[in-house]
Amino acid sequence: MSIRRIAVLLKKEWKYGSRGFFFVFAVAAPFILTVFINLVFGSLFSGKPKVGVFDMGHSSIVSSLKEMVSVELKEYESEQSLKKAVERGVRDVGIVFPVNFDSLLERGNSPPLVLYFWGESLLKDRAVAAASVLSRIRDFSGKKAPVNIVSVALGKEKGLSLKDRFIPLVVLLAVFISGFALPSTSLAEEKQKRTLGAVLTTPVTLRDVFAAKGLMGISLSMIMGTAVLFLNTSLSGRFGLILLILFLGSIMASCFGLMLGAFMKDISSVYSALKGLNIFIYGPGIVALFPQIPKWVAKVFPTYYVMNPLMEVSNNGASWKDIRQEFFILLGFLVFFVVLVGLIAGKTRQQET
Amino acid sequence: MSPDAINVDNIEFSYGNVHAVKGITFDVKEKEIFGFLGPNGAGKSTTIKMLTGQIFPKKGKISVLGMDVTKKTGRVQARIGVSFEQTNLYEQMSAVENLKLFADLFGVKKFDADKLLAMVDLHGRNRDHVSTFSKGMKQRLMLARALVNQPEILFLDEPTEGLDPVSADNIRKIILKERERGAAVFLTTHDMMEADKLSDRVAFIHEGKIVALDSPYHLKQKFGKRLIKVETETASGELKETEITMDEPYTADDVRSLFAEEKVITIHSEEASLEDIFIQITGRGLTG
Repeated sequence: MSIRRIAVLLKKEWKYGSRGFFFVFAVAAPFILTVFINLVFGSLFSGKPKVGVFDMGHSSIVSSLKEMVSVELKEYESEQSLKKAVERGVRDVGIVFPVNFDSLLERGNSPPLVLYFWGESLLKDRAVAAASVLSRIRDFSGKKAPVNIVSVALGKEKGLSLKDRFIPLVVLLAVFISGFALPSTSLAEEKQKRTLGAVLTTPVTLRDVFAAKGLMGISLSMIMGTAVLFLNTSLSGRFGLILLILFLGSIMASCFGLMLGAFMKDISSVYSALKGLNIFIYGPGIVALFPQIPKWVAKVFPTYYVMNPLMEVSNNGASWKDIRQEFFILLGFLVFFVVLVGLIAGKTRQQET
Repeated sequence: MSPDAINVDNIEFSYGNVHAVKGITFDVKEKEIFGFLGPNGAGKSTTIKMLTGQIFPKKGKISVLGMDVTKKTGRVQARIGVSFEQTNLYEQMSAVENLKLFADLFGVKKFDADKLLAMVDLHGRNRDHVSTFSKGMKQRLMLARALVNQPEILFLDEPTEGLDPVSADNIRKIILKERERGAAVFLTTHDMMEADKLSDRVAFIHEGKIVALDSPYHLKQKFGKRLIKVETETASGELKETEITMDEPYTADDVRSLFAEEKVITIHSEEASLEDIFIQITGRGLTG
């Protein structure tokens, strides 16, 4: 392998590959999906949080909440009807004001305040609702949050919102569309148009070609993965660790792409194969979308070991210790795939053009 | 005797069960134009692929510029140029970009793409995308690409296929110029006239085997039959064609009697072509 020749080929890939349909698709698809999810499930252009209250003792705080523009308030006749509204997602948050709430506050006590929230409501809406209530209580009592808030999640999904459940799939798409589809289509296209044969009559080896196309996939995959994580506000964890996992994920994606490209004769075959292989690549993301599917199903797919550590570190603030087992499994897969790609690059010369 | 540019010793290659090349042996001298002729499927392209290191022979040895092509593939490829029969250019790039890419891959430092393009009559189209080129223009660009590293051996697969007579003639001049520069040329073509005009020696390949190898002149001497064709007018005014074999003891008498007895309208000699010789040897034509 020659670094100079790989650099020449890589420059060619960036300059001319970026004009291709698949490059544009690989860049645009994760962004479009991000915007789509945000439009459908929240954050961008979403309205005010819907708050429901059951006021057992005619609290003046409820009256002042009605005047606030940051929340959309509705009163309920009973705690039962409030809970039902929250369960169905009619209200994002439901608050039960107990009897004598105001007088208990005045006496300096900390009365309990039960706060129900719909499991699929946005964190932002929950935060806005809670902050609005707390600010009104603070205004009334003149003290800093003199209440104990008990939060109870209602509805079928008590964990992540639907939007949050989509993020793993979007991240997988960002990493693997670029890393997987670009090298495979580029390699197959060069075979179909016979340019690979021309390049291989120069001192360029097939390993040089694989390295250049793999690096192209890895770099774009890294950029897209980071951008999508950033857009989905999930870069809260350890940035270095996130980049390392993204890097390994990008290598895995490129290995898959190169293996596919090596065995396919033309672009149409790659497209057909990509359709069939989608489940193999994006399976863990689909499993994450449906919490009723057991988590072990996702663990069957190699891409799980990219997606899960990435989401754990970026979303849940997991540390190296928390993800090291999955990290080493990912590393094991990578060693296997890289060796396989190296062997294929050596063997394919005999069948080329 | 000049040293060999290419030395091929009993090479074989098969695609699965199909035995494409069945033990062929030949050599190409330095500064020699070597014509490699045969019909489609005879094993020409497979042989070129083996000589240029794209595939390796299953048996036998190939030495190019004194190096084993299977062991020193990269070093051999750095000193050869290949022009293909089928277009394989980067169509989304311009002509200059195509040439510069290959110059960079070969590591050519001082490279003048415009000069090379002018040589193949593509000046004025230097910056145009190759996708807008005609087949003939692409063919010429592929030849230019094969020359970017000033190769010591030039492999040309049907270089004049699809070209107009003027362009084809220009390509032939470039081939001769390359030989003058010192390059050996390995040429495959269907055009027998071209092979006859250009080649110092030709090899006929048929069903994976070389069935004849010599200079065109010697092949014609060995296999060809020289004829005199005479057109005469009979007493009743009808035209009649007579063929007289040359180089026979009775040739002169036959010609003399024709002139004496009949009214000769036209007379001309005819040489056997390489195509005739190929048919004579293999029982089939080259274009089949």
